[in-house]
Amino acid sequence: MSTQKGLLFDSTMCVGCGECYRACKTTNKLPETNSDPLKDHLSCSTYTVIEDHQGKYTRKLCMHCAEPTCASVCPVGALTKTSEGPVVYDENKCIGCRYCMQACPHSIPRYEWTSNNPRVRKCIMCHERVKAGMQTACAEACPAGATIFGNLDELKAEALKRIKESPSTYYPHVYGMKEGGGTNVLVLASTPFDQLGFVTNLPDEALPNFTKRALEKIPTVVSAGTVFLGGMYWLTKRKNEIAKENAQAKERKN
Amino acid sequence: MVALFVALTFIIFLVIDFFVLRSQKKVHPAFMPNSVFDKSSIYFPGKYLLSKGHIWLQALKNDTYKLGLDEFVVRAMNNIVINTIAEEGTKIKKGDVLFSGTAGGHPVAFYAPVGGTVSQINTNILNKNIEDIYNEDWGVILQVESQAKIQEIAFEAVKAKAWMQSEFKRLKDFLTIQTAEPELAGLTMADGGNIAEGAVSMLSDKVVAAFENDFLKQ
Amino acid sequence: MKAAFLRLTFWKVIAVAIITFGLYSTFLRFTQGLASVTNLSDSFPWGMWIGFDILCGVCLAAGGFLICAITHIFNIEEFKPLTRSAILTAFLGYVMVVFALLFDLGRPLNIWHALIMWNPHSVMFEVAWCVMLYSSVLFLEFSPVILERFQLTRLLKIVKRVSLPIMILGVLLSTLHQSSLGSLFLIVPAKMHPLWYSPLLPVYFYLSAIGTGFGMIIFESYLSARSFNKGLEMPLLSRIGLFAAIFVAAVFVIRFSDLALTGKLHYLLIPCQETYMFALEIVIGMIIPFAILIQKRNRQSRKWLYFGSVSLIVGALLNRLNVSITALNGFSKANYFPSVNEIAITMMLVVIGMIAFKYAVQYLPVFAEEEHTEVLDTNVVVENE
Ligand code: SF4
Ligand code: SF4
Repeated sequence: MSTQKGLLFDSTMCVGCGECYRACKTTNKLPETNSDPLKDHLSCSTYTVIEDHQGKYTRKLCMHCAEPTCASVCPVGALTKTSEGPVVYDENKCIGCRYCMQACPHSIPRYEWTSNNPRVRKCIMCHERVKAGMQTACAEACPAGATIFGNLDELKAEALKRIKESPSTYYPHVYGMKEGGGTNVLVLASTPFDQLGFVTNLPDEALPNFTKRALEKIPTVVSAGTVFLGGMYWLTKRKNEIAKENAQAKERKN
Repeated sequence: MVALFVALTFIIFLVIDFFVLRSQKKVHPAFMPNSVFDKSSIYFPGKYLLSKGHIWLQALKNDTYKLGLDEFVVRAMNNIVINTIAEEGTKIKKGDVLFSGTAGGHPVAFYAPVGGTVSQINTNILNKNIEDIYNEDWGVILQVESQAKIQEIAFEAVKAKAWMQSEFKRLKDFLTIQTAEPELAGLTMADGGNIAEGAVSMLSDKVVAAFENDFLKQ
Repeated sequence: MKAAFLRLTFWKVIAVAIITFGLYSTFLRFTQGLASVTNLSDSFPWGMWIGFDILCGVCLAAGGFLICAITHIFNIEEFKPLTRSAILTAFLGYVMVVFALLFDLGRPLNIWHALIMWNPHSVMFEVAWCVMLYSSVLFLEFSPVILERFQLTRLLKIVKRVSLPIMILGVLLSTLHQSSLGSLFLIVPAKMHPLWYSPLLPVYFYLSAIGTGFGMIIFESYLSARSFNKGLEMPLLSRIGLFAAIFVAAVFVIRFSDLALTGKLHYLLIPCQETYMFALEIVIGMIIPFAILIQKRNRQSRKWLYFGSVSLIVGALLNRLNVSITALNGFSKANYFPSVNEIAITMMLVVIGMIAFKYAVQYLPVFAEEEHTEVLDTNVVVENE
């Protein structure tokens, strides 16, 4: 049984009240950026927002990928997938290359552009609280039960159950089941997910595999390259020597 | 757009530089004549002999000599392509055509500096530019009629060099006569010192023929 | 000497202006953060500094490892006259790349973290190591010039003894990081325009770096001829031109077969900015230089060889910036365009590199190996520089 925790957000139940938004700000001590949670957008001071897609509300936050792209690209390992599920960030390691921002398939990480010692900012699934056995602030705050916290396996089963029980309410797919290798944040909706602003052209394979395939070739390139270059050196050198000898021999004959 | 911007900036800098150089009366190396033929760089190998028709001779055995075109003609005309060589085994007289072909597309011929029997020809030089002037791209091996004649018609290396320098001056005069303003035609350099490589063959059939007459016949 | 130094010329004025504004931007950058000088944003975190200073910079510095491979591994000794200046350019190029990185990194003081905090799954990690090692290798490759200048014969002997392994290491490291800069983008299959995204990106980056590197060797020789009154090694450069044409053709064939095999050719028919930029990149970076350089007559002409090399370089600039900026623009919808300060800092780095080159040539025997250069007419080019 995996210890991975996750979030299930059922957008059909979301009423757009903004409680999760406010709870997130309070827990993470983030400054206020907008009085209306529906008009805000992700930023270095906002880890989650509620978006209004023609009357359908949806949340945007880090998906806490099962095999996070951000963690795989970070050259110094400042981002890591914890055993509890959250993908967390260590600002003391970060060198600020922003590859994580470039690479994240959901375009989640934000940057403190105005700071002189900037940090990458994103939802960390209340890692401290989760470690202490609590649920995330947003799940706790949600009055409609749209965001729930729990064991990932159970949440997956729950999501599938909901679709099965009321197929007329749901679009028959749980976002996060397989997108980019799967995520710890699952989303249910009544419409296709691209209409809610989710990225739907992701491969099922975890993205880190795409670079892994290239990186795996390095040992081969290095060893084959060394042999090739060394061989070339020896061959061409020998050829030059022979040419020189021949030239000398000719000269002597003349 | 960024890509376009960067690419254009690069090009604009190059263009500005071109005009800056122009305003300073300098020429960007890309727009100089392909090579400059200056007299200090003419080379002639030590043990070779040189005839006045710009054919070099290298002694092989007593009366056999290897013959080829010298650097002066090759650089003055550039792009010399030989199409026909005197036939192997034939006897030729001094002044007979030894090689003929084109220089920059204009017909040209080179003449035997001395009489003799052609014992071997180098077909490798046919139909391509002469490049390795004093080695690979030799023309014929000639068994000369008389060893003594050689002394008359050919300079030794040291003298040959000095003589080529004087030919260089003669070439400048020649170009001035042929084209009233050789500088403007890009044949000679602004300071009047040097000649553009291949200057002769940049002109017409007529000029090449005149060059043949003035420089290659003796 | 002093008078010549003080005399104002057009380019000196421009250089001073660029450096002044660049220094001002540098001050802003390090006192008020990235937002004060760049147009980067959360939706467009990599801009011109990554796209031009790093991707193009590294690509254009490829000449260094190519010439080393030719002269020291393939033992084609005729090319030796080109070695030193190519290595010097590459070295200065990499130093500039590292400087640019210090500007771009949000926490530049942590740059050394890459040394001790390893994440071998990260392409960036690999690039960081290769660039760092390769810069040291380039320094070693160039060191004989410095040692010769100061007559440190003992050290010189040691360096010469290890020269073969160093050269091989240099070629390997270059192969790795030139291609890895392409691998950086493998991770964004869903964000990149399909005309550029391909699992073969590292291969394209590597092969095109080789083509461009050859173009750069030619271009540099013209720059040196222009500024230092030295001859052009035309016969050598025309052969290099042929090499470039071959590699450009190879990239062209692979890229188009890839597009055809993955069924992406129809994207070429969609009239949009990406398609135009792609077409421009292909025409300027591949078709034109190939058409010019494949003909012997053109390669032997000073003018055409120059145009060939310029179009190779422009093509490389277009390609690297298309991959890093144009191809991502559609997804991010950020319409990123660099700020004046970003441009100024970039230009400042380029200018400083050129000045460094100039002084290195003045005080070190960079062109010393060139006994065979044609003697150029001194009065035409120089003097009143
Ligand atoms: S959504 Fe983005 S930031 Fe969050 S874990 Fe996945 S890759 Fe990382
Ligand atoms: S910005 Fe920081 S966290 Fe993100 S990839 Fe770079 S070093 Fe890692």
